[in-house]
Amino acid sequence: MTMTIEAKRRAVFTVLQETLQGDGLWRAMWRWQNHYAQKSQFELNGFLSDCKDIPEVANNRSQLYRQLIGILMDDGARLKPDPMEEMLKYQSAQQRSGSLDEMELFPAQDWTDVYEVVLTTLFGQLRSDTARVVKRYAMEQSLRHSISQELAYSFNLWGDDKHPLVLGDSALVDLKRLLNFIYIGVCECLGPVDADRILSLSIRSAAEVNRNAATDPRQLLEK
Amino acid sequence: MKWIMWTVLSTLSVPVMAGETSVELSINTLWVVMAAALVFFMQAGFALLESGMSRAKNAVNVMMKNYMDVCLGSLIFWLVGYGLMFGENFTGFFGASHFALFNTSAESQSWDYTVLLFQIMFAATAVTICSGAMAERTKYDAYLIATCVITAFIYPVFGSWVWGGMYGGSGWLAKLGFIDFAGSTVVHSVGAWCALAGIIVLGARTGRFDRTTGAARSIPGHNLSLVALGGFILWLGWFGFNGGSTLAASPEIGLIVLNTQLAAAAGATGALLFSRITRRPVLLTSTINGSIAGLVGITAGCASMAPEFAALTGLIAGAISVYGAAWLERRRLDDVVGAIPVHGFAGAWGTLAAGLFLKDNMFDLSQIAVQLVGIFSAFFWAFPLSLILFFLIDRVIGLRASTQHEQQGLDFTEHDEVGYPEFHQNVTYHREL
Repeated sequence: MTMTIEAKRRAVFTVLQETLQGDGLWRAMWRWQNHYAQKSQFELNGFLSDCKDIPEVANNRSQLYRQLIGILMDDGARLKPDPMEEMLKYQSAQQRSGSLDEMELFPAQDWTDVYEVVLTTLFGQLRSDTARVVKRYAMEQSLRHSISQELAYSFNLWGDDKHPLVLGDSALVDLKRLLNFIYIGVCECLGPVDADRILSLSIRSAAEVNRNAATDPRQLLEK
Repeated sequence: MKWIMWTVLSTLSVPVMAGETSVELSINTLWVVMAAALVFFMQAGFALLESGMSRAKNAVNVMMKNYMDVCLGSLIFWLVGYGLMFGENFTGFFGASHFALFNTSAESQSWDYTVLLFQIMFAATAVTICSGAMAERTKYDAYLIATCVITAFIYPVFGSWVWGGMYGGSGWLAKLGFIDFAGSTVVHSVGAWCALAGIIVLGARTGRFDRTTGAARSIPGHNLSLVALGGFILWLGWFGFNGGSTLAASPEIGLIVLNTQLAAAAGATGALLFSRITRRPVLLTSTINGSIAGLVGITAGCASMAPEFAALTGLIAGAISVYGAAWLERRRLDDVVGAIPVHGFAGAWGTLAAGLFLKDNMFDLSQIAVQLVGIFSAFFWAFPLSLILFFLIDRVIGLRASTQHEQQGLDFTEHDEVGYPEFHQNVTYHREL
């Protein structure tokens, strides 16, 4: 089974809905969505530990974990449909009634899609040899300036079809710094005039496809 | 020649002391104040020229630096610089009285005020040369600190060597007979050597030079119309700069202003010819820089040169400005507006030319030697000191803006406002409304 976020969400839902119903199920699903969706499946145990305030999960943690691993190793035939629509309905209802706790009401924004469009457009305008130099430069700077290791690792792997960009909980400030390192790399290779144009086009392209105001790509250019 | 020094020094102090009539004093004052206003207007020229040669995202920052150069320069030169430059100078190395004109005598007071006003404009001109060379990557606060130190110390101390002794004593270069009528070296070269130190400590703008080949990449200015307008304004202001340096409404002004005009015109022509001969494109920026180089070049000898030699001085200065800009580029020194070739190299040439083409005493070897001593003194005074200054600023508060600020543009990061909010073509910054 291809390990997309959607597939992982369906797997978690498939397992949890056998044990949990109603509020408990949706709260757990949102917790997973906000804090674990970007992480690898090996962190699912941590997710179940995090749900110790939900008695049904706390009491069956090891069993649920085995089920989750089993279903993720499976071919995907047993997976329930993606629960995202119901999750959003639940979130809206809770938001209206004001009963959702703050952590889940204001989930960490997922910049993956937007950032990927920015990078794809940006690197798409570079020759392959220039792109390699820019990427290497940005990687070196990321390591030197202690940008989140997860982000640097993901950026390093990104660029071929096998490895999608996974940003995890990367802070916006880290995303801005990485983008700046890429910009400086382009400056060094092509000069600042082209670098300004390329960065500008990348941000504009991402803004055109972005539908979420919270992940407006122009925020990547804020102070 | 001694007579020129005598003329300059005597016009500084004589009007009141020799019992000048109140009408003469009034006319002289009127002329010098008007000239000061013209020199003040040069700041607008510098601001437009430098801003136009910078990218749109740094236009406000460049303007702000020019604006604050005048503001801080005026206050600091009034408080400290004037006393160091023109105060009693019995050592020959610095003045030591008349700080803020506190102890000026009642009889010379009105004239002192006039000279101070005029000299404030000169100090502001010297320091503003740095802003253009160091544009687009310098922290605003760090730049302002450097401005204060240059205006308070580096510029006036060298000035005292040449123009000092208005209230007693004399500068050591003046005693040698060094000719620098309106400041090719005192104002322009000193400013340029400070700028050279600044760009060495700063480094080039990101991406200005190819890392592997070292080839320079063009970073065009955002508005060449502003550059042209700035050039015209500077040219106009220079009539006050050179003409006002007589410090008297005297008949010599005609020759001085004519020489100024011819040198500027020849400077642009020199830049054009040199560009053509060396198969370079004839750029607007280098043409305007050529005329400014002509103006800088004639500043030292505008009162002591025949018009044909003024034109020759300007012609060569214009060529030097084009060659000098390329020379700096080959050394990977990023001077955004070409301030160093225009003010430094052309200033040095002009100072030498003032000795070479001295009316009635051309090619006098002893005079040429004195001119060379003055030229090198300026370099070895201003360059190392400002190198130390910029290095210290860099270590203590940082001189260079961060790469993120360079990316977003200093208008946005330093001032939170942008020059062209409605016409900004490249999205390099974002501010939530």
